[in-house]
Amino acid sequence: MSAERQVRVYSTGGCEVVALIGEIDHATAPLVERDVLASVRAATGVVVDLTATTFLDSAGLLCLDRMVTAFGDRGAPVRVAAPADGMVRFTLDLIGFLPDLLTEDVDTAVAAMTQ
Amino acid sequence: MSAVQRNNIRLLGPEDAPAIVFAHGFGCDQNMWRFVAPRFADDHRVVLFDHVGAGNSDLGAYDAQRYASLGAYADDLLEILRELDLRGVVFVGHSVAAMIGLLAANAEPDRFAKLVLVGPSPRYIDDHDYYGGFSAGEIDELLDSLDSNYLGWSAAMAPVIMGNADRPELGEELSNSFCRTDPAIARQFAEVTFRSDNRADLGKVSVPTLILQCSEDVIAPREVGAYCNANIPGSTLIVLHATGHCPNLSAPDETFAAIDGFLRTG
Amino acid sequence: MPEPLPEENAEDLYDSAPCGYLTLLPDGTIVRVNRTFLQWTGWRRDQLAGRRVHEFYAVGSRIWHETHLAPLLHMQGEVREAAAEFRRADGSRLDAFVNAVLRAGPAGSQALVRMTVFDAKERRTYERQLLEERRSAERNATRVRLLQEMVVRCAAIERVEEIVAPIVRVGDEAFAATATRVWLLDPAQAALRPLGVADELLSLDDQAPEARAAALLDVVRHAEDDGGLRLVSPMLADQRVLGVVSFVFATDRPDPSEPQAARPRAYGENEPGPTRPRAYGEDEPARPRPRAFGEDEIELMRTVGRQAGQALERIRLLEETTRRAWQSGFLARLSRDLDETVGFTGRAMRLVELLVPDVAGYAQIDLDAAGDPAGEPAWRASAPARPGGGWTIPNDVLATVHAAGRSGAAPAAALLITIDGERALVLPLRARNAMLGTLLLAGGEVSGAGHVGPEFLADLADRAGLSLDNARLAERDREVAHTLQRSMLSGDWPADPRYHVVTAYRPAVHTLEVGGDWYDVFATSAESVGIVVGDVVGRGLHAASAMGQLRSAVRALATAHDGPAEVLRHMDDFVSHFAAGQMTTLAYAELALDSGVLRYACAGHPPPLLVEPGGVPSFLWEARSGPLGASAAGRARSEAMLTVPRGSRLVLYTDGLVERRGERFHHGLDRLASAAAAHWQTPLGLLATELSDAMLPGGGGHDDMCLLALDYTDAPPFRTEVPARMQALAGFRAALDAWLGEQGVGDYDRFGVVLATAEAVANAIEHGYGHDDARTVGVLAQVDGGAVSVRVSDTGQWRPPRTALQRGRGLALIGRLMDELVIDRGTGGTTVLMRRRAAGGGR
Repeated sequence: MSAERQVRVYSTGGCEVVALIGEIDHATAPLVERDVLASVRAATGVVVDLTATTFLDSAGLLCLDRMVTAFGDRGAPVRVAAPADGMVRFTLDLIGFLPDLLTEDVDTAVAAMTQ
Repeated sequence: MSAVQRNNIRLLGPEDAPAIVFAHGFGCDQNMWRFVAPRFADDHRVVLFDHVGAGNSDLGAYDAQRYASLGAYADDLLEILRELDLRGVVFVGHSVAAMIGLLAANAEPDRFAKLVLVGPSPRYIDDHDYYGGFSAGEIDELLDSLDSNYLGWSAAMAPVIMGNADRPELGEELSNSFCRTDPAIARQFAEVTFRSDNRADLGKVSVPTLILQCSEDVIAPREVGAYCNANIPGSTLIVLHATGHCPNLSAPDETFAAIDGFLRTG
Repeated sequence: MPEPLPEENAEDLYDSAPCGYLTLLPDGTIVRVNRTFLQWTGWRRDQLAGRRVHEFYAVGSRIWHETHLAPLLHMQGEVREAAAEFRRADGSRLDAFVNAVLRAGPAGSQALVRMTVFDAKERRTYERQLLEERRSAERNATRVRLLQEMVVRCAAIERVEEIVAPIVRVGDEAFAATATRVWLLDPAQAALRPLGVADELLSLDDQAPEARAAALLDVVRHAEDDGGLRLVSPMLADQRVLGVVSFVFATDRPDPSEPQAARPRAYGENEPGPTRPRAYGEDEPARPRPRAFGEDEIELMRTVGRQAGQALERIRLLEETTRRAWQSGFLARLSRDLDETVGFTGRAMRLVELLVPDVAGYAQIDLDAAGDPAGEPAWRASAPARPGGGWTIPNDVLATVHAAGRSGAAPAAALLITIDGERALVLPLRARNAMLGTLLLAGGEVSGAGHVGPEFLADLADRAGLSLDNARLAERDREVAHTLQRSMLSGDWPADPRYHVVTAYRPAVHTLEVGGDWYDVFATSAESVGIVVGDVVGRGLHAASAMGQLRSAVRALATAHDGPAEVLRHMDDFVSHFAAGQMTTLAYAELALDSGVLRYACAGHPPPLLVEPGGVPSFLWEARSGPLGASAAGRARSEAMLTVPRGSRLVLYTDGLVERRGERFHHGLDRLASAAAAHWQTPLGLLATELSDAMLPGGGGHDDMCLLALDYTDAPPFRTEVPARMQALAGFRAALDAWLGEQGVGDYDRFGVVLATAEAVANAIEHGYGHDDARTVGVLAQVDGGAVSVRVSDTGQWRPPRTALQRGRGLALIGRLMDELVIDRGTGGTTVLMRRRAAGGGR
């Protein structure tokens, strides 16, 4: 499985959007993390879009946690977009992952950061 | 029962006049004052009464335990004064009643204007330096004789106390019309009287006091009158010409004059 | 012709009249006196003339003259028939009656009193008789009344001391005694003790009237040296003397200087003074004179004694009855309280608490160190706290108590000792012919004459000793038994996805002793599992150890022999050979895990309950035979066989689950069947608890209860070996998810199980194998009832996580996703057992 196919980065409304696609698990998480941190530079704000993420295990959660921390360290506000009834959101809620950062979708996240 | 009924109170004279109360001593009843008391009735409210257990008092009110001391008689006197609402009274007490009145006056001095003590004795029995007129043994003998004189003293009660209904003449022939006394009560009253010691009470008197002392009185000798005079603050002693223990009967004029004179003094 | 009457001379008539004549002035001065009076009195005329009559009176008459005679003369002019007492010249007395009249003199002259004096000796004698009779009647009436009052008051009293007041009252009022004392006989000392007076003792040999009266059984009259009197009346009950009443009559009057108000009592009606000697019919007053007692008074004193004696006897009986009732009640309470108190030390401490303050002010138990009486006590319990930690019992006392305790004499005597001025009793604590230690009691009832007595204390000490010894033995047994039982009942079951087992054990509510119920699960072969529930007769260590042996025996026999009937036959042999566990009942079943063939047998045990899928219960009533080791009938061991469908549930239990007092056994079975059917949907993990609760509301029954439930899982498990590579996880997850979907597990449950299992596998890859992809991680998943069970196992060496961040993140997820989680990190690898109860439903 290739990391390139799992990470998509684009800009919208002055924010960088990092979309993670497919299963982020013990196998893929380290690559995804490396790619994301390498490809995202903007300082205005970052949205981690998990809308297309199908699975997140503890390695995925660790990866997500590190990304958010790294963006924060760079001074960029971060939001995580995960649909409320998805399995990913279920996993995030299960361990109480950064509830303040969670939004329903990318648009909401961008709007929140550019206000 | 009110004290008025209990003590067979008799009132003479105008209601609003200053009150003078006469109290009888051991041995008789208010009749003792029959020759003296009425003479004050013109300008005094005269109060006569019988001690509980004597005369026509309510014998049912007699309680041996209560009347085991002169204090009870003094309480009765105060009760009478309260009931009649009398204050500033002149109290005239004969014999042991002199001490009863003195005790009452000490307890509630406000009710008393003057005390007249006729043949008073604060203690009948000799005691060291004190001369009372009787030895302890003589008083014993007196009480003995009260037992032996039982019938003679209580003739009027004889039919009842002897329980000899089949021999009524026994009671009949022994009767005397005055000084009726229940013998048991008389016996206790005698004991209370002759064993009393009120010497310590003399000094507490705060009311002007007249002592009437007879010249020859085997019950209250002159030494005793002098003792009272010496120990009652500010008291006046008049030694009457009368002899015996009852000048109110044997010398009513002299007795009246002495009391009347005392009443007229400030 | 009648003789002429003699000439009467007026002077002679006056002088020789048969009565005395006195003429007095009003003040009592004697003016004239006749010869008769002079003759009667012995006075000469010149001694009287001009003197006052008072001087010739006795003192009473003198006062009487002044207070009565003179006033009456003034008021009514005459006095008749009055008593008077004259003094004669020789000092003796003349009893007389006098009549007196007051006559006014001629004008200008004084009034005169004329007095006639009659010798009244006879009349007075008659009067005195009358008076005395009347008084006597009055006194007796009064006395009878007082006696009746005393009897009534005595009948109402409940303590010996209370008898004093009624008796003293009689002494006071009926006899006018100066003092009245009540003495009680102390039979032990052969002496009398005055009630209410401390430490006075009068030997019965004494010459004192009290002692003589007690010996004579009659009233004793004793004249004191000072002229006083003492009359002593024995208190009798059935001619046994219980004590005496002593009436003291002093000679002296009360001190006349005392104010009257302070006199001890008022006189009753007509009662003479309390102490004054009276004499009638005597001319000479000689004082002091002893008081005279008539036979009626003596008889009354006898009666007082008899009445008091009967009252005392009644009180003694009452006190004895009360004391016995209290004692037996106390001992019963003591035994019960001690039995309810667990443990030896607890019981000893409870004992001292119970003894204070009802029996003693202080109680102390010293327990011996290895039976060495001279050694320091091994252990001490005492109440209340005492500075210095308690009494040190001297060695010689200990030696005596031990000797007495070991002698086996019953009852064990208490030893009275005094330490530092305090008195204490020391009693041996013994049981089963051995000394446990000593019980020391001090203060309170022990030192008084209250409820406790030597027999009671001995009984108490023996009961206490036995109770403590029982506790000691029971404690030892129980400790072992509990250890045994814990090991027997621990659920170390073989893990096999083809079945699941839960168990429950509940001890009886009202006992602390372990019972003999047990259950067990073991593999009899690779393809079959054996389950057993048994019940050893009895409780405590014996039952527990028998249970342990039987349990091991069943395991061993079941793997070595074929089938339940064979197992039971060998168990019979075992039981008879080892003489342990006779009459044990058990139900044994073997389930072939692939075929579902169930073979079972019951040895005197309630039938197993089978619940088939859908919740249809049925009892397995075949293959029944008698308890283990029972006589011939039980030897015909048989077994039954049936095939149970997958998804079935088998319940084995002991009778404690279904038995209820007052209920028929079959009714209990019906309740169990209903409860099992009702709980069909209950996941197995909860079943044991819920079924027990349903059957035994309140937490427990009167007997121990043991329950074993086995679910024969209804589907073949998911089983795979995952290569130890993270890249293999995605495929594994997909396969597991698909299988779970086939089993009808809902989306969320499926997702949770997959996530948790994948985390466990990832852990095994990382920490167990260190990413060595030549190895595999075994996964076994199973759906039973409404739950998914997963076992993840590796054979690697556990390596701790390298970073704190990594550590535990996976396990945290698993913990939140699964209801049960067991991680077994053994030397040969790690096994993770997980279980999630299906919430049901999709997303």
